[in-house]
Amino acid sequence: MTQKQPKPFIVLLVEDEPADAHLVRVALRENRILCDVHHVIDGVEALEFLRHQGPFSGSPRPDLILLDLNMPRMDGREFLSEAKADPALHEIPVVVLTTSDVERDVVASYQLGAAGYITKPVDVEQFVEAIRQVQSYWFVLVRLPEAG
Amino acid sequence: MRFRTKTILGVALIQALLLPLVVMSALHNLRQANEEELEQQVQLAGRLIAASARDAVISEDLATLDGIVAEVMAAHQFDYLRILDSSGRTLAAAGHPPAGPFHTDQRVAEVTDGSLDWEEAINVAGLPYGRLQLGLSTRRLEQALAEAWRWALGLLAMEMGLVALFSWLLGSHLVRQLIALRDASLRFASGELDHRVAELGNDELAETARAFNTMARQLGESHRQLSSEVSQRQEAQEALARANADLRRFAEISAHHLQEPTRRLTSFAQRLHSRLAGRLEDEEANLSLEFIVQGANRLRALVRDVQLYLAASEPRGEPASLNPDGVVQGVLERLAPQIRSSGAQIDLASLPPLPIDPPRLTDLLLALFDNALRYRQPERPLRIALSVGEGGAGRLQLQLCDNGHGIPAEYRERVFRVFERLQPGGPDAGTGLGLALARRIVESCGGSIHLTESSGGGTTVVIDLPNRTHT
Repeated sequence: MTQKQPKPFIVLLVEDEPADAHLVRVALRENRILCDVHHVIDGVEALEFLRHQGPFSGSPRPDLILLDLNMPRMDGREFLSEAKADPALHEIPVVVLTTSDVERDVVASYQLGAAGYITKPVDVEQFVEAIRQVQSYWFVLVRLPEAG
Repeated sequence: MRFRTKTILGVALIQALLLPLVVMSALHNLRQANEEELEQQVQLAGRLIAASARDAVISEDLATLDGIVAEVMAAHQFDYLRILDSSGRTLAAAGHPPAGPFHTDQRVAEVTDGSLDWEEAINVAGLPYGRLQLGLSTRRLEQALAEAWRWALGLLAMEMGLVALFSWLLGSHLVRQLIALRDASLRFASGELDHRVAELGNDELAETARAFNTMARQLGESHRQLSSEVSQRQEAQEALARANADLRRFAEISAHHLQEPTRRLTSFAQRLHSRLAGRLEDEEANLSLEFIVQGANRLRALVRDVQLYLAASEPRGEPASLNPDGVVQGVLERLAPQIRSSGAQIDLASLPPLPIDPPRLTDLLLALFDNALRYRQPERPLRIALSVGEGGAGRLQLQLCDNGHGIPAEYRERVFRVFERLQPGGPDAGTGLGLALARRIVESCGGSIHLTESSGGGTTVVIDLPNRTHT
C-alpha cells in the first residue's frame, strides 16, 4: 500500500519573516499537491540543510527551493551564488521570492541561475495562484523522469 | 654675476696670470743673451789688444801704444782704454778711465758705473810687463732692454684688450641665446603654451633650443589634455553633487511622507488588535491580525530609523561638551521599560566632552543600548558597562560592553551595513539600521567604530573619537 502512495514533493522555504513564511505555507497548503515544506531562516541554515550539517543531519534533498532575498547572515543572492557553484547542489531549482519587479530585475542581472521568480503580491489570492503555478510546473518536471 | 661678466673675468684672469709669465721669461732670456755677448766682446777685445800691444809695452814704445789706443778707440765704442806698465804707470790712455782702485766686472750684473770694466795682464814668458784696462758701455744694452720692455707691455695691453673684446662678443652671443631661452621659459610659464624659441645653427645652444621646443610642445599637449579632463571631471562632480543633493532631499521627503500613513496604520492596527485579540474564532484570522500589528510596528520603526540615518551625517547642535552624562541619563530613561523587563545591570563611567552634538549622541547611544538590551543571553543576567579610555594621541575611546550572545567574528563588519541583521524577522526584530546609523554618526565626527568580543562572550562596541579636551 505504501508503494502506491506518491512520494511527497519536498520544498525548502528559505525565509526569515514569519509573516511571509506563513503566507507561503498557506499558499502551498491550499494547492492540492502533496507537499512537504521545510523552513529555514537564512542562507547559512539553508546551506547546512542542503549539506546535512549541524541540526540538519537527516534532512532530505528538496525538489524545489523557495528563496527570499533579504535575510540575516547570508542573503538570497549570496546563497544563490554559493549553491550554484556547488556541483552537488546546482541542479536543485531555486525560485526567488522578491518584493518587487525592480528587485527581481536586479537579482536577474547578476545571472545567478535562478530557475524562476515570484513577486510577492499584496493580494494573498494572487500569491496562492503564483505559488500553485510554480509548484505544479516543477512538480510535473521533477516527476517526469520517474514517469518516463 | 652675469654670465657675460663671468666669461670676461675668467678669460682676463687666465691672461693676467699667464701672459706676464711669458713676457718676463722672454725678457729675461733676451737680457741674458745680450749680457753674455757683451762679456765675450770685452774679453775678446782685451786679449786682442793686449797681444797687439805686448811688444810696444816691453819696449816702452809710447808712440806705438798711443797709436794702438787711438786706432782701437776710433774703431770701437769703448768708454776708455788704458795701458799700464808693471808698476802701474800709465803708458797710454784714451776716454775716461775710472779714478781710484780698478775693479774688474766679471759679469754685466756687477756693473755699477755704467761701464763693463775689464783688465787683461800683459805677460811675457810668465813675467808681468804691464796691464791693459778697458771699459765697455752697458747703457745701450740697458736702453735696448728698456725698449723691449716697453714694447712687450704695449703688446700685453693690446692683447688683453683684444681678448676682452672677443670674450665680450662671445659672452654676448651666448647670453643673447640664453636670454631668448629664459624669456621663452617665462612666457611659457605665464601661459603662452604656443611660444617657441628660434633654433639657429647647430651648436649646443641650438640643440638646447630644440630640446626646449620639444619639451614645450609635449607639455602644452599634456596641459591641454589635462585641462579638458579637469573641466570634464569638474562638470561630472558638480552633476554628481546635484544628483546627490536631489537624492538626499528626495529620501528625506519620502521618509517624511511615509511617516503619516505609517502612523495611522500603526494606530488603527493596534486599535483593531485591542478590540479583536482573543475574540476571533478563526485561528487564521487571529494570526493575520498579529502579523498586521507586527508589520505596522516594523514599518514605523523602519521609517523612524531611515529618517535618523539620513540625518546622521549632519550636526544638529553644538557638540555635547557640557553635559554628555545628562545625554546618557536621557537615553536610559527612554529605555527604562526594556531595562526594567530585562533586569539589566548598567555601569556608567562619567563621559568627557565629546565632539558629537546631544541629539546625535542620543541617537548613537539609543542604537547601541537598544542592541545590548535586545540581543541578550537569556541564561545569564544582563550586564552593560559604558567606559572611557585614552585612545592614543589626541584620541579617546568609548567602550560599551555587554554580556549578550555576541556576534561571530565573520559578521562583525557586515552588521554595519544598512538593513543587515543577524536575527530573523519577528515581533522583536530590529530594523537592521542601528549600527549603520552609529557608524554614520561616529565617522561624520572624525571617529571610527568597530566591534570586538567581550571577555566571557558578548559584544563590545569600541568607538574612537578625537579628544576635544586636547584641542
